[in-house]
Amino acid sequence: MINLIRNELTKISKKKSIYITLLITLAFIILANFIYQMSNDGYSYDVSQEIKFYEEQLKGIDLKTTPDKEMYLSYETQLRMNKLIQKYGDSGTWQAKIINEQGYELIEQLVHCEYMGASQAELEQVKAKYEDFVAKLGLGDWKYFTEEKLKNVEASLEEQTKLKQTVTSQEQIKELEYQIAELEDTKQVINWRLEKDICYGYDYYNQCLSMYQMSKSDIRSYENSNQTQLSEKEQYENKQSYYKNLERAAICQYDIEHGTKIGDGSTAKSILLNIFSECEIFIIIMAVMIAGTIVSEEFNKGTVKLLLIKPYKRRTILTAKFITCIIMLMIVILSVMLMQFVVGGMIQGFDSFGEPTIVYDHTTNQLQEMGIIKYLAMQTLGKLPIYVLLVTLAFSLSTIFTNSALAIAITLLGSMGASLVNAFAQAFNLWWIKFFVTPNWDLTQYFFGGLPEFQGLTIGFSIAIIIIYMVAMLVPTYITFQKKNIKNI
Amino acid sequence: MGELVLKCQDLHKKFGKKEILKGVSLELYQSDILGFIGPNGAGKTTTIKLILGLQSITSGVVSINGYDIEKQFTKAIEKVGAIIENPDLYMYLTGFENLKLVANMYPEVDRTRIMEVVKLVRLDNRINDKVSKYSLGMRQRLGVAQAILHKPKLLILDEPTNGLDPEGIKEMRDLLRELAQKENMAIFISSHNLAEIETLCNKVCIIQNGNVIETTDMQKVKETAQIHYQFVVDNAEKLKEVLSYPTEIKQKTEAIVDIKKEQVPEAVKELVKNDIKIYGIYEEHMSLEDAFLKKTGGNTID
Repeated sequence: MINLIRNELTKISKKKSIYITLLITLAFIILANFIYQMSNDGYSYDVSQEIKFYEEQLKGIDLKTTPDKEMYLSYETQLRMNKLIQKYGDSGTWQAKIINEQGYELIEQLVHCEYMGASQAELEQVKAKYEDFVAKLGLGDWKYFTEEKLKNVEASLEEQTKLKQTVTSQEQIKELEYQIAELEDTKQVINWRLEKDICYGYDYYNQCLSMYQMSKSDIRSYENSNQTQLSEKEQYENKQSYYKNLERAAICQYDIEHGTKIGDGSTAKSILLNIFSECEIFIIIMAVMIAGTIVSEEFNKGTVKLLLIKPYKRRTILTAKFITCIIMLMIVILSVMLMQFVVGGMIQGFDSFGEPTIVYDHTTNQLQEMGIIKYLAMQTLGKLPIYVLLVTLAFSLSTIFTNSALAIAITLLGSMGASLVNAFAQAFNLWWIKFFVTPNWDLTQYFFGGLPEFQGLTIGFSIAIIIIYMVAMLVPTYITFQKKNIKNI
Repeated sequence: MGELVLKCQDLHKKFGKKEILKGVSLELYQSDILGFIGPNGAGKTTTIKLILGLQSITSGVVSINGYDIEKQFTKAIEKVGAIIENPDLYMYLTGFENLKLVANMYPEVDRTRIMEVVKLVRLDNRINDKVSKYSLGMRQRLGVAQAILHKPKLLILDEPTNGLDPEGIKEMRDLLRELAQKENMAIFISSHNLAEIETLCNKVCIIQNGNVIETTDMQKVKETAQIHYQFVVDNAEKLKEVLSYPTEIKQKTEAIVDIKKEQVPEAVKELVKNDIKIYGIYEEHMSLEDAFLKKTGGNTID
């Protein structure tokens, strides 16, 4: 048996096709790392382009005759805002962010006053405010704006707390408590910004801050809402997104507090940790290419006769081939991981690999630290049923129909159609879909207390379904191969 | 006579309603070389596939070295080497890699044996080239090499001369003769042309429409195949009346006369005496197939 497997591996290793696909995968990984690396620089747009656009628009509108004055004013506001941004460079500066956040309102007021004929006093007041804002920007200290914001938040916090003591109705107290909690979060975010010296911008930590606030807000609204009126399906969907928000908030908090980038999907390490979603199609194509040809090619080339007149039982030969497919699958997975480690490290730097690997455990509602090897091994184990089932399908079709193209095409279509089937079942709420293989074959959905994609599935049930499908494919394969008459080739 | 290596007993094979083999029986002993002769479609390859267990047997028994091919497949096939139709080679591998793959499947075959066989089939110079660069003759020889690697007691070759030029056929014949002498194995060769392998075989078996017509020693067939003389004359009918030897009229002016060489002048004298005009006398060999059929009393092969 071992000799047979060794022979199969030799044959595969001498074929060019597998190396070509590996090279294509390598090219893809290099490209992906470059793209992520570039998108790290953050979001930006061309300010001068914007200015040009609004100038063009304004030229075409005459304020006196146009029926839509609001439009004119909004264009004018945009134009002025962008001009102000341009003063400090491009759209990526912290000033730009502040101007976008706080300046827009001021400019809008100013424009309204100027064009809509406000009183002189009002205009003066607004102008003074605006000039003050511009002067503050000119100081070059972003912390000033943050501290201002902090003062505002603290003031309203105080106000709400006082208000809470005066009201008596249970409902109002609840409402106020809700608002206070929201304000506390905002305060927390501002404090973090000051503490960790996170300048306004579009980098990962800014995203973290806003994501933290958003997730917290969603969590609170879920916890305070009454779910019982909703349908079972909606309840489940809300719970799923609640779980996601819990995880996101916890990881954002960890990253901000520790200065790590665990939640950042673009680092070399996170691409490695998410290798199964980044490179899934390549893993599937390579594994299926091998499994779909391993038997049928021998039939098509006539070499199967050579194999079948050797002193081995036919089922031994077939088993050796199947085991070879699984070994090759593991080799493919490992080499893709290795490629990402080396390529990702070379392009993006190896520092991200030094960060701890953190997962959110829903059973304890806590973050859990684990070794990267252990994490990858767990992911591989959880995702393995997908690949093994696809490999088995290709292998079975290849053996039964002795047609490589058919085996590979059907398997690839099946793997692509899987998500379609799941989406279809979700949309129409089909109960019997849980007996289908695709909702069950990803075991990672159960890890760390996660909620499965479909309600009511358990890991034991999924494993049973996976085994039933495997057996259902392999039994006819073995019977066919055992009984097959080798016709003239 | 050596020990019995291969025994086929009343083999039948049906594909649906069509009966391909209608009772094939044959025996093969050690150091025999059997020519399995029949036209295309007579059931030669099917018989070989049944012997090798590549197709299921409808009824009948195949036993190799005393083991039943269906019930004790691995034991029966252990001492068998074969080339079926074309040699089964992996074109993208080198000759040596092809042999290594086969060697891996037999624990007793080591590197020295591989090199020994390579030398035997005279591929030493090209053994590390890819098989896709080999000529057809070289591929046939590599096919033989991988079939004899594990020193089989029975070697089955299906149309080994197919697609070879006369040079290649001669090479193949020499190789097989050498093998039979050196390795002392029973060889089963199928062919649609007896003449190509007549010098090689010591036994011959003719199959036609799924039936074995007869199995016999080559020597006996050869004895039947005498020399004849073709007479071209003005009147063949008259010739037959005049001569007292067995005569067969081919055309109006041609006749085949079954006489020995020293009788030819006698016959000529007789013809001249009877005023028959002689335009030519040609020596003619009877084909082995004709001789075989003459011996067995069968009809034409095709």
